[in-house]
This record gives sequence, C-alpha cells and structure tokens, in this order.
Amino acid sequence: MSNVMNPEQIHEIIPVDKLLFEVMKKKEAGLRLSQICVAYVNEKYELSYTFADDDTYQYSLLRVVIDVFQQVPSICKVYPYAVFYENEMAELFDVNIEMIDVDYHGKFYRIEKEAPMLPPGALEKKAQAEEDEKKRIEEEKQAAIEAARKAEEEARAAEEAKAKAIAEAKAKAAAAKAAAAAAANNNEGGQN
Amino acid sequence: MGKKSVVPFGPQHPVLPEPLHLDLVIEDEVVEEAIPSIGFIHRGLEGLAEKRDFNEMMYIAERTCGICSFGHGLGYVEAVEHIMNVQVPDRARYLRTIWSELERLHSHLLWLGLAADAFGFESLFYEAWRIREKVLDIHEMTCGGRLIFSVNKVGGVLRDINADQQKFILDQMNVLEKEIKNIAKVFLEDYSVQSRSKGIGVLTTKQAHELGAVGPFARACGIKNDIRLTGYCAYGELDFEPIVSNDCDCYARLEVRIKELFQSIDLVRQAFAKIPAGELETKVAGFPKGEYFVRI
Repeated sequence: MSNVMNPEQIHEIIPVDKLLFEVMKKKEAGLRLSQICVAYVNEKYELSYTFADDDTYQYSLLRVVIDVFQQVPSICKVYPYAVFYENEMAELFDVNIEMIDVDYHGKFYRIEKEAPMLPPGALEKKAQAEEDEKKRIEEEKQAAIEAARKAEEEARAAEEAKAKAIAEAKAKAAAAKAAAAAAANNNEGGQN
Repeated sequence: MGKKSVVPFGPQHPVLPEPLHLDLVIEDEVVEEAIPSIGFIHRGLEGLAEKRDFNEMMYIAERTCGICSFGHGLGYVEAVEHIMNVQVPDRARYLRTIWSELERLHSHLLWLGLAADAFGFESLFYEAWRIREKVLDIHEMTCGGRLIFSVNKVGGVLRDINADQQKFILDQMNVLEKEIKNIAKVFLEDYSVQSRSKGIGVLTTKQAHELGAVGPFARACGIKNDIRLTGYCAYGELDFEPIVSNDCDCYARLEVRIKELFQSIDLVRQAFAKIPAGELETKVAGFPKGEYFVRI
C-alpha cells in the first residue's frame, strides 16, 4: 500500500492589510499557489487564496473578506502566475485589484457583459457603494481640513490673546512704574 | 537593439488544439514576449453551480473538459460528499478509481499522440490514437459515453462493472500493455524522437515550482508530487509510487507519461483484484451547506 498523506486543511481569515505579508510567508515556506477564487457573499467579496505544500500535501487557505468598494493588493510580485487569477477576478466579479503585473483591463476573457458572475443589480449597488465611500472619504477630508482650519484659528486667537495680555500687562507695568516715579517725584518736591 | 513588432498568433491555428490568441512581440526575429488571450471558450460553468440543483451540477462539472471529464465530476462529488459527510460505499470508491485510471490512459495516449504530431512523427501519432480507441471502447461499454462518463453521483456511482465486463477490461489491459510497449520503444529509444525532445523545452525544477506546475508536467521536472497519494477514492489501498524524472525536458515529459501508462494498467489490475462486492451508492438526504477544497 502507498504511504497516504492527507493532513487536515488549514483555513485562516485575515484582514486585507495583512494579505501581502501572509502570502510572502507562504512563499518563503516553499508553498505553491494552488488557486485564487472569489465569491460574492452578503454583498461582500470573499477572496480565497489556497496554497499547496508539494512535500507534505498540506493544503492551506487564506481568506480575505472585503467590502465591494475596497481594493485588494495584487500578489503578482510574489507569485507571478497569480496574474491569470487576478485578471479573472477583476473581469468576472469586478474586484478592485491594485497593480496587477499584466493588467488586461477587462479584456482577458473578452466578454461583452461587465462582471458577468455578479448577480443582477450588484454592479449598480457596487457603483453606489463606491460613490458613497468616495463621498465619505471626501467628507472626512473636508472635516479634517475644517478641523485643521479651526484649530489654526483657535491657535491664532490664543496667540493674539496672549500677545494682547502681554501688551496689557506691559502697559500696566509701565503705568505702575510711571505712577511710582510720579509719586517719588512728588515726595522729593515736598521735602525740598 | 532591433525594432520591435507584434505578430498576432491564433486564435485559430493548425498547431493549436484549442483556441488561443498570442500577441508575439518580436525583436530581431526573436520572440521576446508572448501575451496570451485565453477566453475564447470560457463558458462560466462555475456560475451555474449557484443556480442548478447540486445533483445536476455533476453533469455540468464533467463538461468542463472532454479529456478529463471524469476527474472534474469526481472532484465535484467528492467535495459535496465531504460537506454532507457522506460515506461512499467501498465498491463505488474502487469503481471510481478504475474509471479515473482508464481516463488517465486515454488522456496520456492523446497527449503522446499530439506530441508525436508536433514533432512531425505522423505514424506515431496515428498509432497512439489507435491504441487510445481501445480505452474509449471500454468507456463506452461501461458508461455509455466515450468521453463523458456521467456515472458519478453524490453518494456513489450509477453503474456497476459486471464480471464479464471486468474480464474483458482485464484482457484489454494485456492487449494495451503489449501495444503500449511497442510505441514506448519508439517514443523513448528512436533517434529522431530523442533529437527532437532531449534538451528541448527545459523547465528546471526551480522554474517549475515558480510557475506552479502540477501533474505529470511537474513530475517531469523532478517534483515528486502525486495527488493520488492523498488517498482519495481507493488510491490509499493500492500500491504505487509517483513517477518522476529529473531531466526537465520534453523527453522527460514523454518518459513520465509513458511510464504512467503502465502504472495505470497496473492500478486497474490492482483495483479489480481488490474490489469488494456491495452497494453502489449511499442515499443522500438534504442539501450541501459549507465549503471544501478537493484536489484530484
């Protein structure tokens, strides 16, 4: 009988910002990228990257769940042949993938229909979500600019108030000095 | 540095078995880049899985490819069975193994024939495909179809191989072994084949790993990897070792496939020697809910 090797599969869910780091760890461990697939679940994308160890037959999965408007980094620089999977995901599901080495820009399969694997209406929802997200980012940016402007104004006002207080204190001190000097003069005149 | 020009190649071309378009970037008559467009036969079968009944989907999965249809269907039913925790009867596991190996036989013979055609050995091409017909006849006798098997189902198989058919298949294995020995001699020892395959198309072990090569292609590059060793179907109860070559060239790819033909014949014999009597399927209730990755 042959020596059967079938270890339990490893499934991990990771945040999108850790994807490249985790993929690089797999590459360093000598694993082969087996496939990448995407599913549209609950109006989010579930990206599944699976890796195979050709020596131990261990199969492991990295799962990334992202909002439809989010971008996911390309792993082409780590696994060059990921270019096919990534172009496929971009074309069939309209996943926003950043910096694919050879980006076919939706012409990989030459399909007339945009994002044919998404359910009806999902593309419109995605466009709306992207618009909302853009608006939210713009509003956050504007709010940040406004807050910075306000903080600057407050700082300027505080600076002016401080300068005014110093000037007043100086004037008061000068007046007090002048009054003291006048009083001293009066005293001297009386003695004379 | 010469002037770069782009030569369009395909999608229909005499040397291409399937439609593929390449933009060949040529500089000084040397192909510097080949940018593929591969979507001419993309049908989106995977999208149908969301819409069809899970039992129907097996037949669609088989239609992913006409050469390895059984493998696609098998991968699908194994995944669903794992999700639904279905125990497949032993006889069905052995029957699946036998059909898998028969499919490997016809697939390798097809590939070897095409390889012979590619290096201009027409008679060898005809001979490989003539032998392949005998395997397709076995498919037709046991399944009804020559390329699409449609015998798998979630929980087991739909058809059995009876004693007469078993005897016929084992007799045919003897015939095939003899005939494959004849073409193996030409593939592996003929001077003109060697001159057109040795040292040609070298893909080192490192390059194969970097490019994610699998199957006989990877094994011809020195990667000792055979997914049958994970023991799916009845492979865990049969005796075999991955066939590997370290030459990494076209000759190594021929050699690995030739040796795998004999290995498949041996596995069919082993499977028939060990196949138990019993049920063909386990009744399945409910619907699959979950996920699982299967490699075949």
